[in-house]
Amino acid sequence: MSKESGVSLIESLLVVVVVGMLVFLLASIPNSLMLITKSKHVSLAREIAVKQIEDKRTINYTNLVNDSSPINDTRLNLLPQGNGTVAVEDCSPSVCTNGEHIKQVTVTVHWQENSLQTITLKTMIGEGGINQ
Amino acid sequence: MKNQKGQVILVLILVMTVALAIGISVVQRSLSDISTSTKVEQSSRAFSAAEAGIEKALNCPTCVTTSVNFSENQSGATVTNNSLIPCVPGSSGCVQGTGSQQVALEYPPLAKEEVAHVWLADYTSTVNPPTVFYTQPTLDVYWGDPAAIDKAALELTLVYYASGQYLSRKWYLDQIVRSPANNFEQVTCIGNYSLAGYQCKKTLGNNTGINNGPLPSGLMLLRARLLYNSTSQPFAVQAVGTCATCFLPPQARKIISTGTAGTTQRRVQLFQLDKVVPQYFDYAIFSAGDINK
Repeated sequence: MSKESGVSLIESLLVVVVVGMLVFLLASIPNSLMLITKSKHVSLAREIAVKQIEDKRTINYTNLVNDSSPINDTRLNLLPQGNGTVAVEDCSPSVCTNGEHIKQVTVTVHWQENSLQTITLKTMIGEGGINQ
Repeated sequence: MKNQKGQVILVLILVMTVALAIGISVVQRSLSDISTSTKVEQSSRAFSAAEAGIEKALNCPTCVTTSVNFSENQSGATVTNNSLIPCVPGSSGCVQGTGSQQVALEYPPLAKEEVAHVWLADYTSTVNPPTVFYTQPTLDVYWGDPAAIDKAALELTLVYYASGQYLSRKWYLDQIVRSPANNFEQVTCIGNYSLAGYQCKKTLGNNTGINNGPLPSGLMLLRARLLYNSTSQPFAVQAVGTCATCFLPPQARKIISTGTAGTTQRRVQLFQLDKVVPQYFDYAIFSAGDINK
């Protein structure tokens, strides 16, 4: 009888473990959901940046002028505080040591997750190169 | 009483298992999502860098190797800009030594309506007509993908210079009988030649088949077009023999750029011909009247 009236050590331990597990899971689920959102944003930002590079590749080299302009893409609205720039500049002499006719294109997309997130794509477009 | 206590534990364990399964699957999905998107993003950076490498190599035809490094973007590319192919055996930088057969000039797969262009004369010469380079009476031609369902036919135009004028000879080669008949020459294709990856082989100028006497002197260029194919299929030309003048002139360049970002690598390969005649050449050179563009 005395055995049945009390709570055994095993039973209380089990309860502690179960409650611990449940608390851990509940705590990690919001975190996981946030990670899923973040990965969606990374993919979207990448799509936007790739599109910008492809747009620049369709331009003839002689019409490619050095400038830095904000990205005009409606999908930026889907990113929290999304914005970005696409910059065209002459290839720096340290990279193009032979004075090649090459422009460097840098696309940067920023958005606000917990902290500021950035994706940067860099490529080059040369005179007489791909698509030219 | 004892029975009831046991049930509580059972139910607890059940609930715990279900909750654990749900929780773990959510965590698992978020982890795999984030790793996929990171890798795809890295892959984009690597691809952009590889393209940058190609652009740089195109702007510097004499550079053997070149590289691009976007250090602040953690991406870069190394480019191998091989010398002109097919190289002449025994020349510097050529794997084949003197006295061996020249390797084939393999084109990237030809799509519908695309024309492959092979120089047989030295296209760098400044005289007109260009200096003759390949002088053998025969030439091996390979075409077709052995795995392809659509069996490609081949149209060949050989342009040569003889007795003060440019002349041409044509071959129309097919590997199956079409209906309605196209009257092409039937070639038996075994798809198992010393040059792997080709369905058909024809030796031009070996006296077998229709109008296939020894190749004339003054060979200038060979143009090839695949017919009846809906997919892109390969095409190659190989010089016959090992003598000093049995080689095709080196004429194409293969640029391979490998872009790297993080653990991802992307490779871009470019096949460049130094000089080609325009697309309308086939129709223009043999026309009686003027060409209006």
